[in-house]
Formats: sequence, structure tokens, C-alpha cells
Amino acid sequence: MTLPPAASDRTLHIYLSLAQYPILSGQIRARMRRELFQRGVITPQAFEAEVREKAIRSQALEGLHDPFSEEPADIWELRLTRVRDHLTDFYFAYNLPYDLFEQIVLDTLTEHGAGPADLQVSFNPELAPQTMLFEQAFRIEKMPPAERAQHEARLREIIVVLIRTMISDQLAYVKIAKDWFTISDLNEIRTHKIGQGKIGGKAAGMLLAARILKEVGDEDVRAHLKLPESYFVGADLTYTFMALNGLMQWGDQKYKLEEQIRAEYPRIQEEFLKGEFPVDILDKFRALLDQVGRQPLIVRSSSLLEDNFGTSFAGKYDSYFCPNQGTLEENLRDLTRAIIRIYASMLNPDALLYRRAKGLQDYDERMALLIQVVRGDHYKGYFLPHAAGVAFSRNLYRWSPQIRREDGFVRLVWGLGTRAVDRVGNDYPRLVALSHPLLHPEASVKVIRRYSQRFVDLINLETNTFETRPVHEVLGQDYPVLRYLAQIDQGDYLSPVRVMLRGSESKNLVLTFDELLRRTPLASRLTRMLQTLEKYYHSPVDTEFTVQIMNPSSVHPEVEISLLQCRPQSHLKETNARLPQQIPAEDIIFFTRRMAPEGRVSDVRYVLFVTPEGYYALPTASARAELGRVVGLLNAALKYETFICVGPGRWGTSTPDLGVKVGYADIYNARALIELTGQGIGAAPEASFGTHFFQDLVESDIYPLAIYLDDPDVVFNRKFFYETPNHLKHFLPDQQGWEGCLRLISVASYRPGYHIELVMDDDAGQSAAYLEKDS
Amino acid sequence: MTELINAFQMAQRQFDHVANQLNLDPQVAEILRWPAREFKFEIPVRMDDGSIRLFFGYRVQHNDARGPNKGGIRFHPSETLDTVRALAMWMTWKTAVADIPLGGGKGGVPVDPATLSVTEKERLCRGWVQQMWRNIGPRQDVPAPDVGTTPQMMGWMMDEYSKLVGQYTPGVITGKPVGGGGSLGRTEATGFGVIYTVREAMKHLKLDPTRSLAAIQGFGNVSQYAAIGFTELLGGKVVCVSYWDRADRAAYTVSHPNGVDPRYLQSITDQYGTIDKDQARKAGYIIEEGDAWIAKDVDVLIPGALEGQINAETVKRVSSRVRLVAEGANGPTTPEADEVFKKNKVFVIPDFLCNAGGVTVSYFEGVQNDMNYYWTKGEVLERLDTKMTQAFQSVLEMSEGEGVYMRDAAYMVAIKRVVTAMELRGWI
Repeated sequence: MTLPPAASDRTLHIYLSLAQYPILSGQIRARMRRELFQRGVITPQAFEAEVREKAIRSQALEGLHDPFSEEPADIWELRLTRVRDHLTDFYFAYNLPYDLFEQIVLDTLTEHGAGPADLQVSFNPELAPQTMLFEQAFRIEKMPPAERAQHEARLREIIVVLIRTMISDQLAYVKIAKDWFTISDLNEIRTHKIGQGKIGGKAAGMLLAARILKEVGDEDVRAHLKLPESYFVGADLTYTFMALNGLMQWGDQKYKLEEQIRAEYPRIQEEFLKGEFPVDILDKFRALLDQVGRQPLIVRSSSLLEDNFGTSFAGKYDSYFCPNQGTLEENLRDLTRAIIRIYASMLNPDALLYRRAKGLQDYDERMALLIQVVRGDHYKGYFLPHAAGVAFSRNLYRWSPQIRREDGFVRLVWGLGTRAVDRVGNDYPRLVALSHPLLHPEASVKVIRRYSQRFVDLINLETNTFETRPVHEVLGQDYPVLRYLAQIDQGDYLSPVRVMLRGSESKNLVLTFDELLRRTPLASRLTRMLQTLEKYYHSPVDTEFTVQIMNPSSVHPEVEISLLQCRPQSHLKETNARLPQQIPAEDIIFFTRRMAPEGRVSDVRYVLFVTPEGYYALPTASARAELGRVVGLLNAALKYETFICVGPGRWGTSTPDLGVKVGYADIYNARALIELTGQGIGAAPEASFGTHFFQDLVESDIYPLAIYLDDPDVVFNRKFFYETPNHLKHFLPDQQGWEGCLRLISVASYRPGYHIELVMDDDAGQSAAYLEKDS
Repeated sequence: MTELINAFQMAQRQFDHVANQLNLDPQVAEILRWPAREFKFEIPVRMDDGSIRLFFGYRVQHNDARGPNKGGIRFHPSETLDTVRALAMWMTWKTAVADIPLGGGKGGVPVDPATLSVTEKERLCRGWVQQMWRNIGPRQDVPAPDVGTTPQMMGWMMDEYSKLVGQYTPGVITGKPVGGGGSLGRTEATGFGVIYTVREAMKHLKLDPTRSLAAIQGFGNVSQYAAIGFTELLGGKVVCVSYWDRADRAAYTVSHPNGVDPRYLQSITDQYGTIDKDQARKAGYIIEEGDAWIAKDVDVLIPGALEGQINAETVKRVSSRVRLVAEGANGPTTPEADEVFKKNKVFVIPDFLCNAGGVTVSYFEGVQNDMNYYWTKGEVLERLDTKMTQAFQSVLEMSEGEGVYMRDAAYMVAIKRVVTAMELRGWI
């Protein structure tokens, strides 16, 4: 039988559900057909014609060459019935909402006297229509306590089944979630969900975190926690979309060679963008847009693997803003384009290689979506939140010894949080140690200013676009919350904005967020929030949030925190990270007193060194970007070696002028990434702390470390780095042209019989790479 | 009396309005809405008949971020803590807008000084100082004469303070008589100060003073020197002045077809400001109704005597020729009249900028006391001119830059300066 390829989950789900009712399924399908005909999806004549045609074709498939003589009439009828059933399921699945199917099932069952009591025992929760599960659960919840007690197990089962089918089937998640979600919560999710399948990891994390905080957060947290209005698009719609648009051929992308994965991705994006959604889904999107009105939206990936315990997928998939300021049809087009782009991002090289490295390649990954109304304020024709950021319950990098790890850490920006999440160009979010929120990582005004946010991400309501603008162009004295975000650079000190006059200069405003942290309970509130989540997640957590300052002209302003997502925080393995008492000077390869995440990399055999001189001598930005690619090749070639990378500026930046442009896919075999900075060498490195790139590193046990060559007691063994043989040609014979700026140093060629130990000792506040004799 | 009781609330409201325009830090605004320190104390005075009468004294120190508190002491029967608080706050803005390194304060005793003999007054003055001396001083708080107090009383107070601290300290009080530590130019200070700002405003409005006419209300100290200044310093013509006739218990406007000669009028005015109208008539002056001054067809109006003279009613009589109103008096324009001026684009020099010449010369007096070297009248007035001109320009700049009315601009300049000082001192 040749139905359209890849019977998607929608058809399958209907099929499996109906398998429970071997007798009534006939009636149910008849009703389904009636709906199809009444709604004009297909005429009865066309339908029957297709049934016959497919039945005849199926005979050929089953090896009947002379059907009239070989197949008796009753068998032919049976054949027709089965094909008709299948075609019914198919047309229904692709054209009408699943809710309607559930309703038909329920109506048929009720008509046949399957009363509530019967239903309770008679169906299999795994396959029963969700409507039925909800009805039963609500009924149990409403029972008097004594009676309810008897059905408690059933209620729990229903909750678990619903969590598994609607939210996530990750055991670690279900284990925690089943204790928190109520039937009302789940019903709320259902009413905000479009399409079949689960809502994915990101949505799951957000909902669970919110539930936990609303339940056990302290009163202060509960009173000031907001959840953005959220909608979910089920994961199974990915396959429906792919099947409908002939994109299933890309399903095996993950098993292809790395080069092929990279090469084909642009075409994949192109083909996906040509795709269309089924009409019933489009209607639901329209209804969603109608409901949210002209509020800007963010469409976020929420794949099944995402935000899992242990693998965060941080930044692997895309998110898109939909300003939502056009006509309904324009907005719908923007929304569907955003969704399709995210679907395509499932197949992007970074994500696929990450999965390969994490052993998640064989999982049937699907993409659900979380659509959230962006919280923010109107200002000068723009729309943006007062502040946004990422918050971690554990502070992995203390820039001062008094900072308490367990109080957490925040990357805070003005405007949309995109700048806090990713490592972006020449820009810096405010790093906040929640135990000491006013303690900047930088000391002098000059340096604080240099490492402050310069660009702001926002939604331009007039042009209906997402934009990045220079801070000083947007931020003005008429911004009602200005004094909480910015301070005035007075030359040798920073002063709060005491008066805000229109005529005043905006150029000497510096975004420090000091007054927000000083005057509002934001820091302590975030700490308590994170600690609560960590306690009940049984793991450190990592969250995204936005902040709204409620009454800026009050003596005691309030802040509301909107929680956008929550997931377990990536963390480095615990290792023995104590430096030996005495290291002979000649054994030291490099040494720094800068803070780093604690850890140890043993038995380092190779050092991949991008020389600052060579790198900045490259003639063009594209040549620098190209070097990133060569690093990627070397990374692949060094798969079986223990090596670390050393180079100028900010690794992982999107601007090659600021540092080596690499992605996770280019360095995942390395064990540490050492960023060099100093006069004339790259931008300052700390800013990667907490970015998605940093998450990648931490999660992959790649240690990030910065060396400020201008620090007085830094050791950087130039002899080792510059006067050793370059082994690049041994691994990449055809890339010798890069030898001027890319050096691969074999530790043994510097001192035979030795390797490097890299130790980042947090207690001593020192990190060193030193030679150690092979044992 | 209601308005007096609420004087402080009104001052706070006025402050809130400007704080809002400045978008002032709410935490700082809260500090400035209240005085920093308040003193209330009893002053038992032995009366001439041998009895002891109990008086109460007040001193409110609103803010001293920019320098020692500065402000007068009032002897007036309706004085209350709230009126003193309101005036102390007002002084903070006044010294700040004039950009002199002083803060704001005010003191008072609820008493009608006319009911006291000279010796009783002296004992009351000395009693006030005996109670407050630890909290006043050239580097703490410098009182000055005000309603119901005189230079002579300031002399007693200075003397009492000097005795108590054990050294001659003229700088503790200003407004002392010349020769007793007072400054030359004090008499002219307020009136000339008004004229310096008028001159700057006319430059801004591109009005030629030599072709301009002014009408002046009152003929007390301020108005006398405003009139002299307008004619002698600017070369303009003053068409009239007005005065309160003690004998008739009525006000009159005195005008002259060719413009008044203020020096001549001064010569026929008694110490209470009453002009001899018979002599005036003989000299060709016309005596009109007391409120005739407001309706004169002039370019400049200088209300120089009483509060609330230009109100919702009287403003209707103001000639359409008027381009400039210089508030020599305190609060001569009511908010309703202000709105009319705003609408008609009449330029108003707000009172606490316009009449800041007095406090500026008080400051000069303190400066001279400190260095124990005294300037000539010319030097004093020249310095006054510089200060007033700068003060006017900074307010004008704020008004134009922020697109606000001059009165609000003056408050904004003042508050901003005080806030900056508080910040630099690390108070906030």
C-alpha cells in the first residue's frame, strides 16, 4: 500500500488509540469520516475513489496478479474496509484537530453506556484519549477524602502518564515532576498546547521550576515571581511538518560524516523554509496570535533532549523573536518562519556533533516549541525588559575569595536577554556574584566602563524587527528606570543618576546595575529562588529571567522576576586540584593568579597554540575565521590525544577580531581553553563566563582559563611556546600554510619523557601548567 | 491662618513638583523633604516690671550640604514651627540658586516685637543666643535679620555669641550695622540685585532698557533701589511706584508723566516708606489708586513689596505690553496668575532668584568678617553683579535646555546643586 511516506505520529496515535476499541472503532471511524465530509476536507466520492484505487494497488503489492479470480468478494470487502480505515485515520490526522478525535471517541463510548465507573477500569491510560484521562482525574480529585484515597494510585498514574505524554519522558524529570504537578497544572498546559506530542525540555523546565517556586518558595519569592504567558507546540508536529513537506529524507542526517553535515545544512534550511503547515495547525496559530494581541513573542526551541539533566544543549538550537506588530497574516508568517527555522536548527552541525559527542545520536530527537509573550516596557518606539539575564545557583568563578559559591551568579543585561546568554562581539554583560552583588570583577572606573554593556537588544515596534542598538543611542534621561541601570562616569568615580534631565548627556552613562542591586531586593531574591530550585532539583540549576522594576519613583522600589526557563546547571567534575608546594621554575609552562573554575587536566601531551602575533597579522577577518575552521580540523585529528588550546582574546566570539572564532564543534576534544590577553592582545576574556559557549566547555569538561600577560606575577614560558618544533604538518599535512599562526607543540619535544599537568587550585587562587615526569 | 499652618506642606508640595520634573532620586527626595535638624527651646525673659515671661524660640536647619545654614530670625506673633520649616527649606534653594556656599535655615520667636521695650527686646535676643549658641556659628549656622528683627538686634546677638565663645566673632550673624561688622552695599543689595537680573533678562528678550518703561510696586528698601537701578544703571524710565500711607492707612500709586525720579522721591519718604504726597504733587507727581501700578502700559513690572499682588483677578489688568515680570518681593504672583503669564509668554524672574541679592551680600558680609578686611561699596556691588548674572544665566540655561518655566528652572538648578553637594560629601 502506498500511503504518503512516513506515517507520522499523528496517524499512528489515532491508530493506536482505536486499537483499544476493536468493535467500536468502526463506528468511531464512521463518525470521523462524517466530520471529514461535513467539513469539506474531501467529498465522499473522491474518498471512495481513492479507497478503491489504493486497494487495487495494494493487491499488486501483495502479489495478486489476477485479482478477480484470485480474491474472493468477502476478502476484497475486507481489503476495502482496512484501506478505508487507514485512509480515514490519515485524512483525519492531517486535517482535523486531535481534540476532535478525542471528542468523537468519548461520545461514542458514552453512547454505548460506558459510564464513568466503567471507564475507570476499562481503559489503558497510555492510549486513552487525554480528555478521558483529565475527566477521570478531575473526578477523583473532587471525591470526598475517604473515597479519593482509594483512587490515589490511579490519580498518580494518570498524572505520570500525562507528564510522560505531554511534558517529558526523561525519568529523572518525571521522578521530580510527578510530586509537583497537579491535574489543573496539566490541564493548563493542555489548553495552551498546539499539536500532538510533548512540550520538550525547555518548557518542561520552566513549568516545573515555576511550580516548585509557587509551592515552596518563600512568601517574598512567590509574591514577586511572574510567569510569562506561554504556549506550547507539541514535538510531534516536527514530523508532521517534515512528512507533509517531503523533508523526511533528512532524517538520517545525524549519521552522516561531519563534512557532509556541515555542507548540507544551508540546503536543509532552504528546503525547510519552503514548507507549509497543515491548515488546522495554521488556524490554531492564528487563534494564538489573536489571543496575545500585539504583544511581542519569543519562539524558543524546546526539544526533547534539551535542558535535560546533564546535557543542556545550551544554545544549540535557535530562538527567534516575533515583534508581532504587523497584520494577522504577516504575524502568522513571521511566527511560522520562526518555527520552521527552529525545526531546521535540529539538523545544524553544532547540535548534531554535540549529540554525537554526548552519545545522544540515536535518540529520536524532536522539536517542541515554547512561545512566550515577551515581558517588557515601551520606550521610544522600542520594546524591551528593564533587565534580563541568566542566573546560576552555583558560582563557578569567584573573582574574589569572599564570594560564596552557593549564593549563585548572574549575567545581567539591559534589554532582551540574548546578550547575556551568548558571547557577543565587543560587549559585556554585568557579572554579579549574588553573595556580593556590588563587588565588580573590575576595580577601576575606567575598567568597569570598558567592560560594561554597550549594545542593547530590543524589539523595534515601528519596523517590526529585532534589533541591536548602541546603548547610548537608546538610553536617555527620560527612561523611567535609568537610575537603576546606569551610573554616571564622573571621571574618577561613578555616581548614581540623582536627577534626570532631558538636556543631559547620555554618553557618560555606564550600565552598572549597581542601583538595581543596591536598592531592590533583586540579588537576595534571586539567591533564594535559585537555592529553592537547587534543593528540589537535587542539582545546581541554571535559569533565564527578565526583571521588571515596578515602582521606580518610590523610595522602596519593587522588582518582579519572570522566570523563562530552568535546567540543571552544567558543572565540572571534581578532581584533585591542589598545586604542589614547590614547582621548579624551569618546569612551569604558565602560571596565573586569576580565578578559574577549580580543576585538573592530567597528562597533557599536546598544546595547540594560536600565536597572538600570527593571528593578528592575518590580513582579513575572513582569514581569521578560516583559522577557526583549521582549529576544527586539528581538533578532529587530535581525537585520541590529550591536548589544550592556548590563544589570544575571546575564544568562541562571533567577531574574529576579538579572538579565535570557534564553536563547540571546533574544540570539543580539547581539555582546556586558555585565553591570552594583555596590551594589544585580544579582548578581555572573563566575559565568556556563563555564556552558552562557556556552558559547552564546562559540560564537556573543557576548562576555561584566562592569562593576563600584563599581570605582574604571570609566568608564560615563551621558550616552550615559540622555540619548539611545530607538529601541525604531522596531523594536517595539507594545512602547512597556517604554521605561522598555528603551532602544535608536542610536550615531549620540549622535554622528552615529560607531560604537562594543568592545575587550577581555587583555594590557593592560582593556576599553573607544569611539566611532570611520565610515570 | 490656615495657610500659615500648612506653609510647610505647601513647601513640600512645591518641592515634590520640582523633584518630579527633575526626576529626582526618590531616596534623596525623601531626605530633602524634611529639615536636617530642628530646635525648639524656651526663653524666659525678665520683663521691665520684674516679672518673668516665657517665650519659645525656634531654629530649623534644613540642609547644610553646601555650607553653613543661612537664614533670618523672625519675631512675629503668627510664627509656627511649620512656617519656620517652610522658610528654612526655601533658604536652601535660595542660597543654592545664587550659588553661594551656604545652606538653608530659619529661626523665629512667636512674639509681636511692638509689645516689647527695647531692653526687653535685647534680653529676648540675648536669650535666644544663650539657648542656641552651641548650634550656630560662622561654620555652622549664620542667622540674619528678618520680619520683626533689625540690624541692632543682630548686633546684640553677635555680642552675646562672642561673649559666650570668648572671642569676637562677627561672622556668626549677618545684617549687622555698618561699623559693627556689617557690609557696605547691604542697603542697595536686594534692589540692585533685582535690576541686575532684569538687565540680563532684557538682553535675553532683546529689549532695549533705554526705550523701556517699568512700573514698580512699593517703595520700601527693595523698590527704592530697584527704581534707582532701573533709571540710573539701565537708563530706563520708571513710570510709577506705589507705597503704603501710614497716616491714611491706604496704598497709593505715584506716577509722573516724564517718569519718576526715585532719588527725589526717596528724599521725601519717611523711614516707614511713606511718601509725602503733598510735596510729590507739588513736584508734578500724580497720586492714583494703590493698585493703579499694575495696569500701567509698561514693558517691565516689578512687584517689590507684598505677597499675592498679582493674582487671578489683578492679572487681567496687566497690560499686553508687559514682557517681563521681576519678582522683587517674595511670592507676589499666585499660581493662577503664573498660568496666565505662561500662556501669554511673559518672562518671569522668580522671586528667590530675583531677590537673592540680599542673601548674597549677607554672604559677602560673612566673607569680610572672616578675612577681617572690608570692601568698598563699589567692590561689593560689582561682586554682587557677577554673582547675580551667573545665577540668572544658569537658571536661563536650565529653562531653555529643559523647556521649563523659569520658576521651575530656578528650583531645578538649586535642587540639583544641593544634591550634587550631598553626593560629593558622601551623604547619599
